[in-house]
Amino acid sequence: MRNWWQWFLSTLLVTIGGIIFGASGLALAGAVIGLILNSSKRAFLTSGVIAAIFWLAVAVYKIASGQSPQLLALAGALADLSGAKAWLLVIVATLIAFVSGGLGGWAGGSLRQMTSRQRPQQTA
Amino acid sequence: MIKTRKFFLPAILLAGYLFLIHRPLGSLPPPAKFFDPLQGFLQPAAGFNHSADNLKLAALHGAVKILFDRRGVPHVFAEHAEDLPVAVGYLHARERLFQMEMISRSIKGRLAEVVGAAALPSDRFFLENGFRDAADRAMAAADRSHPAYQALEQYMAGINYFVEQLTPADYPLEFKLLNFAPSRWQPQNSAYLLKYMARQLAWQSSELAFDRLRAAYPPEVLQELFPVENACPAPIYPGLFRDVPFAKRRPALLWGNFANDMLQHPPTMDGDDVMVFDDRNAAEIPMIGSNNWAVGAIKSAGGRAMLANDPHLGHNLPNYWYEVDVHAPGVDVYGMTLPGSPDVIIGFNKNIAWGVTNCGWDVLDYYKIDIDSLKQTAVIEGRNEPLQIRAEKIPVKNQAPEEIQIRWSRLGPVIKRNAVDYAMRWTGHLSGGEWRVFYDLNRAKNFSGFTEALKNYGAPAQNFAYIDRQGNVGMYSAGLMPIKTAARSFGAGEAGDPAQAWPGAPAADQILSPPWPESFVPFEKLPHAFNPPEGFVESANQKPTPDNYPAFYDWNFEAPYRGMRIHELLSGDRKISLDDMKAAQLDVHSVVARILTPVILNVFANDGAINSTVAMALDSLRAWDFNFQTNRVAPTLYHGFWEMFRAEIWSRHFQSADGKTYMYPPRRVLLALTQNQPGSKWFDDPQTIEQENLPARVRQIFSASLDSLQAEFGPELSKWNYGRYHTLRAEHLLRLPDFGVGPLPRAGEDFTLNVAGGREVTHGPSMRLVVEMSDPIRGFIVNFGGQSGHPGAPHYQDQIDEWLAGKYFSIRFAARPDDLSAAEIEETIVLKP
Repeated sequence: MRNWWQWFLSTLLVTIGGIIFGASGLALAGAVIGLILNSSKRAFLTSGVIAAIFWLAVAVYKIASGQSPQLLALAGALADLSGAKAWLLVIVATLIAFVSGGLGGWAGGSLRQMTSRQRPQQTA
Repeated sequence: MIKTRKFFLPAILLAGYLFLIHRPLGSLPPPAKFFDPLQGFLQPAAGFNHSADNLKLAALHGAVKILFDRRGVPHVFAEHAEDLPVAVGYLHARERLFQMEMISRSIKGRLAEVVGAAALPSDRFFLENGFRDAADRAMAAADRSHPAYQALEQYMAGINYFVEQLTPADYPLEFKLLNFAPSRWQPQNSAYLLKYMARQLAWQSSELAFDRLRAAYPPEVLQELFPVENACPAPIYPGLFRDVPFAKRRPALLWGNFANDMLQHPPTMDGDDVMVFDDRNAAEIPMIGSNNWAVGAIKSAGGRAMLANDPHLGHNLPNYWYEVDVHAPGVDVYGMTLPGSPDVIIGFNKNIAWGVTNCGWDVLDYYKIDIDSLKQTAVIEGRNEPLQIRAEKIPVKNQAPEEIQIRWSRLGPVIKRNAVDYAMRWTGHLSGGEWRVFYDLNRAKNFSGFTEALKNYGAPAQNFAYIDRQGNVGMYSAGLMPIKTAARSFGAGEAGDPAQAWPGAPAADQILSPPWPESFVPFEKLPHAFNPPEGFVESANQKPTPDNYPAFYDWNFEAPYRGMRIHELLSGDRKISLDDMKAAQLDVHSVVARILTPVILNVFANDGAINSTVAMALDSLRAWDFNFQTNRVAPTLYHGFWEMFRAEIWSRHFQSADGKTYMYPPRRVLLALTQNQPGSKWFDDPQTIEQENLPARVRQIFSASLDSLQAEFGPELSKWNYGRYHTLRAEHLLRLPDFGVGPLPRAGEDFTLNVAGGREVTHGPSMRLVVEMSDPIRGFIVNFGGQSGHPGAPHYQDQIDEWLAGKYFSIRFAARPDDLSAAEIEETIVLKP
């Protein structure tokens, strides 16, 4: 990404999408980022990484700020993950976010590429 | 074309991925929702953490201020009394929404809808046995102009306000795990809760188990081991027929000519451990019960009446109880509520205090009936009668709904067990006024108001203990008591003859209101006492009355040993203090162990050839004071022996060919045989050639029990502490292991006042309350598990350490918000219209 505002816009889109629509919002934000970037590979990585960081940061904040450490322990226990292993659930959440954002970005980038390359052919 | 394919590949992958992560994975919730840190398992439920808040509720008439103390107990101050139920509803929903949802779904037969097919047996049970129909009828018959009914509607408004504010992110964790949304509350949900409690406390019958026994054993055997007699040595009302002058007080019993009104029947028997529905293994059934007692001013060290109550229920998390302190013009009440109902069930107001124990007279009978092949009619008392039939579709999560037929006969719901059709008759189907009882009780000012409130009480029958500001003390056993024309205990009626069924009783689809029809003991004639000569009253689930009570009522009563112990602790000239009341609740002295331990010691008294382990064990028992404390070894030796002894003696004689265990005789029978008939044939082991007697079996089983303990705890007898052997476990409603607690060392045993039945304890005092009607009122309380129903929340699994250690918290009965200091307050909420 060449411009800082693209990073800013991508982060903003992921944040808004994630807060309002959860994993679907991350995918939607990724698709918009893909449309902006006009590159399916870059969009996959960019939106996937930003989405993953967003969910990871929220999870870490909730646990570190004392809102949810008990809930992490309980959910970990449900999955038979004791102690620090419960953080594997946070990793799973991060992966879900990465794939959601990444697939959205890939689809958006591909759509942009498809439409931008088909248009000159139609006008020629 | 290639470019198009390059778009559709990620688009299809994305769509497929989103589809997959938004779908439940088997019984697991959708990953997209569950792992979302803003909505899923990391997002605390509303109410998980307390925080100051101002809320607007249209249902309110004025402001309501709620101050939470450091235990999470809300102190509620409303400008208008009709706003109190709104506030309590809001609080219940905030802290116990999942518990309330599960209980109402249980009775409605709608658990499988959210849990899946595993809950179908529960749904079928509650629907086929008429719980939902009865609760719906009770609410349909309710007087909607009564303020108590309006309170139910206000309560509903408080709950639904909370539910409507929730987004999926705010749902309690259990809703997220099961992936469903909380339901809106209806007034009949409160009736469902009351039926649920009736199921917990008054759904005991041994008739079907007796049918199995009768098919396998001759009558004389069963008469001996299940005797139809019960000379209860410590009934709740020992002075029932005594004409005791009691100056300046009302008579100990309000009796009249009741004896002449009633038919005479054989005396009853107690079934201390036979609370079985059909043919469960009696050895699996935990001993549970409750205690309450009240000491009048004349016997109180402080000159004020005092009351103690510890209702014994399953150790669930969250607990049944939610503690509140509520104030409004004309209403000041403190005590325990049941989430799902707006009023205090056990507690006190400015004038009186009350507590309850279960009263186990038999209110559930089965009758064999013949049903035609089309299941449309039943032959009852020689007449062919049509059945009321209703089809019900039970929704089931992840599969097609199941349709069942609910059949009602004139006697009650029709069920089939072991290929036999039965109609059941249960007072819980007929009662319907409980919703107003506690409303009135919360506002009662004296014994007259107290008894007036209880007149509407039908089921489950309870022993209500009473004290008041004037130093009076009383007890009333309230609830529908059917008058029976024949003993329905073993050897008499059993499941079988509808002609003997509560003569004159109304059809089962009616809801009764006082005065009760003539087929029930009139309220005024139910056992009760007011200022008895002893200066105190007590109940511990034992038989209420001496055998000369004129009405026949059989027999689901606990053994009288806890009642005897209360008498030991309270009787005599000694004045009783609040500390004495607390000490009695925590008492782990066993009257039964005091009787039986010498039996073991006597057997070995002249035995020279005993090994060192046996010798050390006997020394330990000799030095024992019969207190079941966790740091002692002797209780382990005693309990280990008697559990094995009981199982060994009866399993030799009550094992059926299919491997099932028949219902064992009551514990009191084995105690009596052990004390009085050492040569009884029941001590013989039929699997050996030799003829064994009590001493031989005691020697053999005592040694075997020591071997068993040695294998479990190692060779050093000094390390066999009771706390290692006898442990408590409390489970979450969903039985998720990590949401529960235990095993924790647990003192007490089946017959101690601080009751802890079995070896792995799952039942016991659900809370402990001691209150003195002084000025200001003094009280102490501990609530097992605490206030919150949210796993992981600060007040979830709360107060358990204190409960185990025998500690109490001082009650803050705050008349005004200013009575609570800032240091005492954890959170403040203001609700405004």
